[in-house]
Formats: sequence, structure tokens, C-alpha cells
Amino acid sequence: MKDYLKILLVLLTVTVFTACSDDDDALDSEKPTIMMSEPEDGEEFEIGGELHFDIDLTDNQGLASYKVDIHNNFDGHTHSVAKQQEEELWSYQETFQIAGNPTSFEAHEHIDIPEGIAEGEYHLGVVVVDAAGNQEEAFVEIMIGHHDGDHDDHDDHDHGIVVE
Amino acid sequence: MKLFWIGLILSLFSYNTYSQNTNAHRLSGSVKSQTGDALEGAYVKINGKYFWTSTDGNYKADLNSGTYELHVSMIGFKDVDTIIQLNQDLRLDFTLSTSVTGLEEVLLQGHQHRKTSQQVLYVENEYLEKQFSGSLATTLERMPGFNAMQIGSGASKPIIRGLGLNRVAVTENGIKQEGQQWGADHGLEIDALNVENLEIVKGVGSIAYGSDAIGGVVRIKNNTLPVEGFTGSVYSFAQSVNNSLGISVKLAYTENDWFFKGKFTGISFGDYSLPAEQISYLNFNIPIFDEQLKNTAGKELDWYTQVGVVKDNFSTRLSVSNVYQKSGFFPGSHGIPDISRVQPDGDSRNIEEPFQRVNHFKVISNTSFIYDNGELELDFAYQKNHRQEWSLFHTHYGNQEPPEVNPNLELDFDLHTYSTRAIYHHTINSENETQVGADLQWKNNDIGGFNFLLPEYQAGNYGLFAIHEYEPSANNLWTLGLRIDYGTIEMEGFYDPTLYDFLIRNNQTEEVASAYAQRSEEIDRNFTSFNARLGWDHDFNETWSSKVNVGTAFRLPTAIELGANGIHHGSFRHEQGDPNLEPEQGFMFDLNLAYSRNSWNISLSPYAYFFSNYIFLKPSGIFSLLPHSGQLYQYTESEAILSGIELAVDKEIGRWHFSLAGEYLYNKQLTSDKSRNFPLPFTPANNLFTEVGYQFFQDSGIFNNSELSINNRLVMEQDRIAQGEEITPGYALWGLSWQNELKINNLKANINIRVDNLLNERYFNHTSFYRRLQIPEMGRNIQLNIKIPFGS
Repeated sequence: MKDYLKILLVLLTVTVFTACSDDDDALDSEKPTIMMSEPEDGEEFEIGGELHFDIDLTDNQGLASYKVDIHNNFDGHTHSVAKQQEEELWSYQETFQIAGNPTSFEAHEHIDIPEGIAEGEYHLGVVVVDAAGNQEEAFVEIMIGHHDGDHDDHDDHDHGIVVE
Repeated sequence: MKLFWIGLILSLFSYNTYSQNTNAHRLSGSVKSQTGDALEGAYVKINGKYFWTSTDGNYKADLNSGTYELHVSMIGFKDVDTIIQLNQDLRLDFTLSTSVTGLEEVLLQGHQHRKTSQQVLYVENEYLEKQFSGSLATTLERMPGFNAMQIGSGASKPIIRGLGLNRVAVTENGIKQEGQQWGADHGLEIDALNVENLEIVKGVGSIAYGSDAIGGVVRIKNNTLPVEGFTGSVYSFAQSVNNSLGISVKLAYTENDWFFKGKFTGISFGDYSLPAEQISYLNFNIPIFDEQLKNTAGKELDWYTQVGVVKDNFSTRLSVSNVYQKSGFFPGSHGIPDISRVQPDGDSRNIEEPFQRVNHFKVISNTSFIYDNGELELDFAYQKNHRQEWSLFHTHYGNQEPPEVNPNLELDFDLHTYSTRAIYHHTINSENETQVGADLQWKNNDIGGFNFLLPEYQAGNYGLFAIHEYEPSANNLWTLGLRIDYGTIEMEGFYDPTLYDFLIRNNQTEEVASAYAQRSEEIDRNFTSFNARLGWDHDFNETWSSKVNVGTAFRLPTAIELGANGIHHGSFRHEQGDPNLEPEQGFMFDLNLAYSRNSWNISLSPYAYFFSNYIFLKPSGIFSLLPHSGQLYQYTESEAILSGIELAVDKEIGRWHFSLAGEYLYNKQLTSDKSRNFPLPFTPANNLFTEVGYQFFQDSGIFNNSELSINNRLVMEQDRIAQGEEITPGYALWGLSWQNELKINNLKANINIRVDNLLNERYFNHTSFYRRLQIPEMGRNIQLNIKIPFGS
């Protein structure tokens, strides 16, 4: 009887542990990476001006698309119940396809900031997905307002933020 | 004072019944273990009436002349059954031998089954009090095959064999607990300190408990009969990691057939400490000031009352309870990371927005009628689960006005559940026993708040089941269970005009805008499911025994899975339900081998599940148009397998005690495309818990059962992750504990001191809600708890 049990034990262990030696390597659960060169965190932009972004995207297998999402972050600081905006709160969303599923891609776009929008702090978010559906996102806070023309000249690429 | 009056009324009633017994005889005696130790708290059941042995192992009962069936049981010992003829005062002593597995089933209510073919772990209140770590599921975490999904330091929910959320059922006195179980950030609304007995049924519990009991059942039994007279205890504890203070008071009064129980628990905890100066979430480095995680404080206030009468052939209990929990969320990673909100506010005990609040009110009535060859159990229950999530009003659409009442109430769910169960047990002969039952449940969910996530719905679930047990010999027990279920769900549609306007202003077409604005569809579905289980419990000999189970399990799709369409709170995921999902259906096989000899107790349990349609969230690769969201996640069904093995080893050598509990898990989806066979989400990493204890004093007058132990929890790296999860590195945690029973004259006190995470290790728990947010777990924790019993 004992021998029988020992054999059963060994068999069970073998069955369970061989179940794991399979084709997990084919799985891609690695997220893409985002390196945002521009805009930088806290960068200021002019109402009615232009915002341009410069982002390096990479992935281990293949990038599929990315989305840029800009919305206000006014409630991050003020109790928004008390604050009623007369100007329109700006929001911007655009999805860009990346053709051919490359493993790296440099995203560079210009966005017009409309006139008559509310001044303040906005979030700029970039969300990227790869061909397998893995997603990564990165956010920066930007200031949009009237700054009498002394804003950044957009040539400093050293302060990018790497997201793993 | 109130208690006194209730007690008085109860005693008058019982006096009347008692005074009619003219020819009463006294049955008394003692219950001892084989080594001669008196067993305190052993049950002596005499024709359906329960008696408890006192500290010196003695019991007594006053009975009329007649024939009585006696059943003596105690967890960890083999039960004894006997029949006596009583026509004079009688003294009857019992000696119990240690049970083979150490975990022999003791069914205290209902008909006795000497064995069960299911795998069950038994936990008593005493264990919960000793190991208490803030909430129920985390307190049970060292059980093999059991894990906790944590939400901060005061809330958690169970994971059995890697299955959690709606795939584990929690019951109290036979009634399934119904809250908003689908949410990973929602804890279980149960007061861990008031639990009297608890059983963890591993493996499918679908036959008796219906939908959701796929991974297992956490069965809470708050139906013990207090000892005669007035008794009680005061338990208090303090924790250093979150400056937690808590007290739990229990009172009970029993006179003859009547009893009353009252329990109260209050816990207050501050922000918890963690060994980190900053956390990196998304591309933000969020500072942690004073190594304290801001706004993770919370509190809990619970009460419980039960009144009952237990007679020879009839017993009834009415329990009314309430659990209230409030706890904050770390504001730095609630939504988009925000550094401005994590500045210290000088108060580590305040709870600011964002926070969650839940109140669970429950009334349960359990009644049983005992006949010559059977027993009828009738249970009725009402539960009201009111969950609220509060955060400062914010809108993502620009044009939404805050509500006039409670502008900062983000989500509000009010779930009412009505349940009825009727089970009839019938003993056909000494070998065959059968039970048939009906299980009815109706739920109504109302919603509120400025955000939308879950629609209003009404759901019904009606089940009929039968379980037959055949015990041809003392070494064999066969169980066959069958169940048929019919479920309905009626969901209200929800249209969001603000979102429609927002999308139109963002240049979307009317068609697209209306599709998004229809946040949930009006759905009317019904489901049928048929399930079966076959179990075999077999003892090969004195040392070897086994349990084998084959069966099916099911789960009805939840309202979220059928009808969600919106950004899931706090995770910025746009999740979309599928109104055409079918009930999740699983097939399972499990085996348990147990060895017991010379104080060695070894148990090995491999298991395997196959799901024909496991429901999960699948990333679609398509971006959602909702602001703040990434890609769309859709609820999808796919085949899946889930397997694992659990090992538990226990050994005593003189004053030394060794124990070990390990778990290995493996699961994945099975799709037509091999490159999409991802592992299932929230799968606990393989882990091993080891403990070595040394008993200093067994009985030294002042110090009793004094044991010092050191433990280690070793958790492997979890690299088998679902999409959207991150690889969680492995870690090892050390702990120390010192238990003591003090006895100074008449004062008795249980004192436990514990240190968790001794080396202040910085680690992540793969199944914690905070893992996604990159928030490490709690640092070193020193805990003291004292329990002082009083009365008899």
C-alpha cells in the first residue's frame, strides 16, 4: 500500500510541475516605454499659441498606437465647487496609429491651443499600447495662460522622463 | 441594565419549562484527551441540545428519563457517539483520541457527519484573536492555499487557490454575505473578532452555496451555545505600524434553554508606516513624508447581538449585527498622480477625501426542528450593504455641475439582499443519509453619486439541491451532490447626457456620442445552471487517508460584467461589459493525501480546474474616447485552466513545534491564439510559511502555555502576470511571537506579543490593491493583545 502511495505522490508532483514548462515565452506582457522630451513637467504655454510634443516610444515586440489627452487639473488644487469657470475648460484627445508595428517610434506633433480657454494647470497624458494590448501611460503638468512671450524655447531635451 | 432585564425575562421563561420536569436526572462527567488533559470547550450534544465542557473538562445536564444520543466532539479530536438509557443520575467520562488529520470535521449544527469528503480547514475564535492583523482575510493568511487581497491596513478579502472577488463565497450561519464583492478595492464587511468558529472549505462549494463558491467557501459559524450563567471577555490590542487601537467586548448569558450574546468591536487606526521615502507611480516620484502613507487611516465600529432558545427537538437563533468601516485612500495615486495632495497635514489619524465608507447591517434567523430520523433547518436573512466612495467633486467633461446634496459623494451603492434557505436532512439508515434543500435569494441595488460605474439592478437566484452521503464502512464515505439553479437579472439603463454633450463638443459624431453616453444598457437576462459533485473520503489505514473530489462549479455573471461602460474608479480603465455573457462554468478535480503518525501531520493537496468560459477583462487595443482613459477593456469569456498544490506539515518534538505551509499555483487562459494565453489576474505568488515554536512553561502556576515562536514567510517572484499587471519581486518576511496564559489568583489573561516584518523589509504584495499603484506594504509592526475572560 505504501509503495502505491509513494508512486502516486511522485506522479502527482511530476504532473503538476511539468504543467509549467510550456510556451510562456510566446507571451508578451511587457509594457512599452515612454520617454517624454517635450513638453516638460511644469512647462508654460500661451493661450492661442501652439503646443508641440516630442516623445520617444519603444516596445519589445511592436508598437500599435498612442493617444494624447489634455485636460484641466483645476480641481487638484481648488475646491471646484466654489470655482465656477466662465471660460471654457479645454480638453483635447487624439489617437494616432503607428503603422507597421515598429519597436521604436518618435512621436512629434503640433497642437493648436484655442483662444478663449480657461487659464491654469492642465494635464498632458500620453497612453501607448503595443500590438499585444500592453499599455503604458505618462503624464506631465503644464501651465496654459498669458505669459507675455517669455516661455521656453523648446530646445532643451535633457530633462526627459523615462518610464519603465 | 437592559441585559439584566432580558436575562430576567429569559430566566422566568425557562423556569416555567424547567419546573414541569418532575423526574429529572443529572448526567455529568468529564472529557479528557488520551494523555489525561482536561478538554475545555468540547461539545457534548445530547439529542440536539448542546453542552460545553468547562475549564476542568466537566459537563453536566439535567434530563428526563429516556433514551439519549450523545455526541462528543472537539476540534482536533475524533468524535465519540453513544446511546444511553437514563433512569437515574449518571456519570459518564469520555476520552477523546487525536484525529488522524488533526482536522476532522466537527459539524456543530445540523446533523452530524463524522467525516466530510471536502477539504476543510478549521479556525476558532481563539486563533483569530491571537493572529488578528486588522481584518479577517489577512488574519487567515498563513493557512495553506489561502491568501488575502489587501486594501490598506484595515480591509481585505479572501483568495482561495488563486480565486477571489466573486469567486469565493463567504457565509455566516448558512447565509451568503452580499456586498460589492467585485471591487478589488472593497474589503469584506465582517468583524473578525466576533467570529466564533470558521471553516475554510477549499474547492468547489457550489452544491450547498450556489453561485460564486468556485474557489471555496469561508464558512462562519456564530452559533455556539455559551456556558451556563453570565460570561464574557474583553480583548484589546495595539499595533505600532498604524498606531492602531482596538477593543472587543463579548458578553453572554445562558439560563437553561435560553441564551443571549452581545458583542462589540471598535478599532481606530492611523496612517500606516512603510519603509520608503518615495514611490514611483506612472512617471511621477511621489514623496512619502515621515515614512507614513498619508490618509490611509481608518476606523471600524461593529456590534452583534444574538438571542436563542435550544430545546431537545427545536432550536432557534436570531442574530442582528452591524459592521461600519471607514478608511482613506492614499491621495497621491488616486487617479493621476498628484504631488500637491501628499503634503503632511500634521494629523496621522484624520480621514480626508478620497475615502470609502461602508455599513453592513444584517439580520439572520436560524431555526431547526429535530425529528426521529431527520432535521429541518430554516434560515431567513436580510442584509443591507451601503457603500460610499467620497472624493472632492471633479469632472472630466468640463460642463458637469456638482450635485446640490453631497457634492463630494462620488459613488453610492445600496444593496439589499433577502435570503431564504430550507434544508431537510434525513437519516435513511446507518449507512445512508440524504439532504434536500432550497436556496432563494433576491437582491436590489440602488445607486447614487456624481460618478457612474454600476447600474441599478434586481437579481434573483433560486436553487434546489440534494446531497447524499453513503458510508458503507468506517473507512469510506461517498458524497454525491446535485444542484439546479435559475437566476435572473434585470438591469436599468443609464444614459449620461453630460457625456453626450462633451463628446459632441469634441467633434464626435452623434452616433458615437450616443453609444458612449449609454453608460449601461437595459438588460433582462435569465440563466440556468446544473451542477454535480462526487466526493470520496477513504482511510487506507491508521496513518494514511485521502479525499478525492470531482465536480462542477458555476458563477452567474455580475452586473458589472454584463453592463459596465465607463471608467473604473481610481484605475482609469474604461471597462465595458458584455450583455451576452453566459454563467461561468468550471470543472474541477482535487485530491488530498494525509499522513499522520508520531505527531507528524502531513497533508498534500493537488487540484486542477478547467473553465469553459472564464470571464475576464481583455485589453482591446482600441483607445476609448473617454477623457483620462487608455484603451478599452472588454469583459470576455475564454477557456482557462487553473491548478496548484498545497502542502502542510506539522511536527512536535518534546517542547518544540514545527509547522510549514506551502502553495504552488499555475493558471492561464486557453484561447485559440497561443500568444494570448496569459495567466489570470491577482494570482498569488508561490509561497512557503514556516514556523518553529518552543514551549517554555506548560503549567507553572502563573505562566501557562507559554510559547515563543519565530516564523518566516517566503514568497517567490511572481512573473506569471496577467496583462496590465507588473512582475512582483520575491521577498522573505520574518516574524516573532510570544503567547502566554497568565493566571494570578482568580485573574486569567491571555497575552500575545507579535512582531511582523521584523527586518522592516520593503516589499510589494502581488494581490494587494496597492500593488497597481506601486505602494509598498506595511513596515515593521509590533502588536500586543490581551484578552481577559470573566464569568464562570
